[in-house]
Amino acid sequence: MSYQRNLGYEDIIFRLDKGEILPVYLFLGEEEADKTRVLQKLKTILFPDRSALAFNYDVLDGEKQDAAAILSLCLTLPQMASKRLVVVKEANALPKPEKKKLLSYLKSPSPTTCLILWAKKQETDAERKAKSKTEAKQFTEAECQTISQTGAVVTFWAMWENQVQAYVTKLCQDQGKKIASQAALLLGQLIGTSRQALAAEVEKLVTFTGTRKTINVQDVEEVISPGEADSIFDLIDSVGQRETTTALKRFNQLRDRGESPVKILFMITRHFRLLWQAGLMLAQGVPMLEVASRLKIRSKKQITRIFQQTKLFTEKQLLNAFKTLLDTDLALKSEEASDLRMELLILGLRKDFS
Amino acid sequence: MKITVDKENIVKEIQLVQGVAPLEGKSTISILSNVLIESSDDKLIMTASDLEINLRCEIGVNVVEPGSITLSAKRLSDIIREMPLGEITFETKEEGNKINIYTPTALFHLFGQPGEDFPQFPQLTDSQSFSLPASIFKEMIRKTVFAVSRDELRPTLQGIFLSLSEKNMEMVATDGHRLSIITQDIDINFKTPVKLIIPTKAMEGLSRILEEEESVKVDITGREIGFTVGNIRLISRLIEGEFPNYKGFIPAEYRTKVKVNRDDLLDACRRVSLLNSTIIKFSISKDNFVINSIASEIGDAREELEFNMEGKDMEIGFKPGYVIDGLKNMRGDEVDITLVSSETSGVITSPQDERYTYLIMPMRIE
Repeated sequence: MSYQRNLGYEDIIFRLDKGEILPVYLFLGEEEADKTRVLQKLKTILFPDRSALAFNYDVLDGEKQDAAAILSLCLTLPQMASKRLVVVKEANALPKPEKKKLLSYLKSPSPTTCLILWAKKQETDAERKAKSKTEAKQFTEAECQTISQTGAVVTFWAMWENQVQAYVTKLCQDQGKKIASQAALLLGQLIGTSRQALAAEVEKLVTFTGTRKTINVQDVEEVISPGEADSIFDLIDSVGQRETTTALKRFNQLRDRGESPVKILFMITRHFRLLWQAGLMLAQGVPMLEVASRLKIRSKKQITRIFQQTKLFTEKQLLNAFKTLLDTDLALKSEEASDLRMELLILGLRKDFS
Repeated sequence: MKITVDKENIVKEIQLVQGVAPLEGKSTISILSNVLIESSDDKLIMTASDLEINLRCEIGVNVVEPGSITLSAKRLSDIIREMPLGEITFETKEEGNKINIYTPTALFHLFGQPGEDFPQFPQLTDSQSFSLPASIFKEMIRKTVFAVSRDELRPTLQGIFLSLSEKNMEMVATDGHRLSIITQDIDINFKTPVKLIIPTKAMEGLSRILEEEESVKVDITGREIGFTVGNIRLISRLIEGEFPNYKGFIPAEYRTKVKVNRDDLLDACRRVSLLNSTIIKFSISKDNFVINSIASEIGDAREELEFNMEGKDMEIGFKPGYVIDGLKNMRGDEVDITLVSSETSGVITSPQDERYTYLIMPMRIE
């Protein structure tokens, strides 16, 4: 797609910060949290006086409204504000004749209205054709071109995994917090790349840490959704306990739920690193409480599990395990068959322990 | 329970309580679709609730045996409406879960639910109270309720804002595109001014209850408001949140003022909007006052009105439906339209309805 104005999340934030507000935006993509964030920003810019919001802001449902209702709101003049803000949710559900009327308005839109057409993920023409007629209600490329002549098409792409840490750090900064890099990394590994899910977890962490400025790894471990964390820790536990059959079963359950192999590998590697560090400290006669403190583990369940499992591995076995983990990490980054590599890893770790 | 009552004494009250009870299947608490019927001391008490609004009516009846039961509000209303004129008997059977409703010629057997399962009617404690003629209250509701927002995402606009001070009562409603304000002189001894938002459904229910010759007693607590009219009591929860500061949106001065016959303006708006229901344009000059609409691919319409004006020439666009709503609810033969600019809200008032102000946001007319 190549429109006159084809923006991403960062682009629109940058332009809004510069004071550029266009008469129309088409919001595409699956990152609803970022769409909401941009809408909030627009509301803050346009309506510094909150009373103005009540008289200049409308939200419509594209499934239930026709173009006349939308145009009526767009043509109303703002009062005690520089612009009106009109949001059409489910804009992709507008029937074709209504969309045509709306696009006609967009050739010469009201300069005192900012219209947001809030649509779902953009599909390719081929995907659209493959669907039934009733479902095929996305914006076509020609429609996007029309919109971009006076406004902008903003696509809210999902993040790449390597962007998560910076994103989480920024979210925390926006709320006056710092987050340790390892904590941001762990949060990303546990939650994934969904901005919405990450924002929700950061919100919890900010509340959890209260007046404390820095969010650390322990905070993430304590706050993270138990259902999510337990499943991964259950898998790690099975690997550590040498219960290969259970470990493979749990791995496949996690994959069925859509967990990334990279995330699972990260958690297994982290666990083995903790085992290694705990084992060394215990061998040096460091008291258990001190070990827990140095490893910054506050969960009684987790530290107990680590102490139990350190007894199951020799130093050589752990070194071999790290080598296997490194090989798997490299393989995941260069091969397609990631599930197979992970299953071989789980089996390999068992072999190394025997 | 066994009571006898004349149909004419009960039919209106049943319709009132039915208006509050949610339709069957619309509430997760099924008993709320029922009306609670209780009888004792020569009184029949009917209660309905949707947990936000609670309505209770008392009617004098002949009580043969006291008791209670709950019955589908809609079914009961339908049955009583269709019963022949004259005396109707209500008689419960089988531990109060079944009732016979009969006249000398018609008989209905109905299944109900025990009265004990129905939510308790709320009691207002530590309330501040005042009374007002029902006719005044009814008119204030009529002049505001139509402008309330139906947008569920804006709960504070989904009710009528009531502001009370020692000498003044003001009701305001807005959907963000027009603002309807009515004031009334009162004399109450509230210690501090009160500001609250009353749900539309409660005000619409109250409006149906209010009879011209009666007075309404109003009880206010921090979270609820109660209205008593004769033998009917309505208690509603208040909408939480802050009503927008609307006063800043009312222009303090004007550059153009037009005096025009209300009915003529109303009819002209109706006619001209037949071609375009989104925008009509008011063109005001020393020579004429023209209302016109343009619909591309259809045509255009214009109508000229007799008028008096002071100030500057002006062109301004409005949504016709909003103008019509305001004019319909205004008293008096003449109305004044005051305007500041084509981009500022227009204000409609009437010399014969001085306490009422109606404000409409303008539309772009390029």
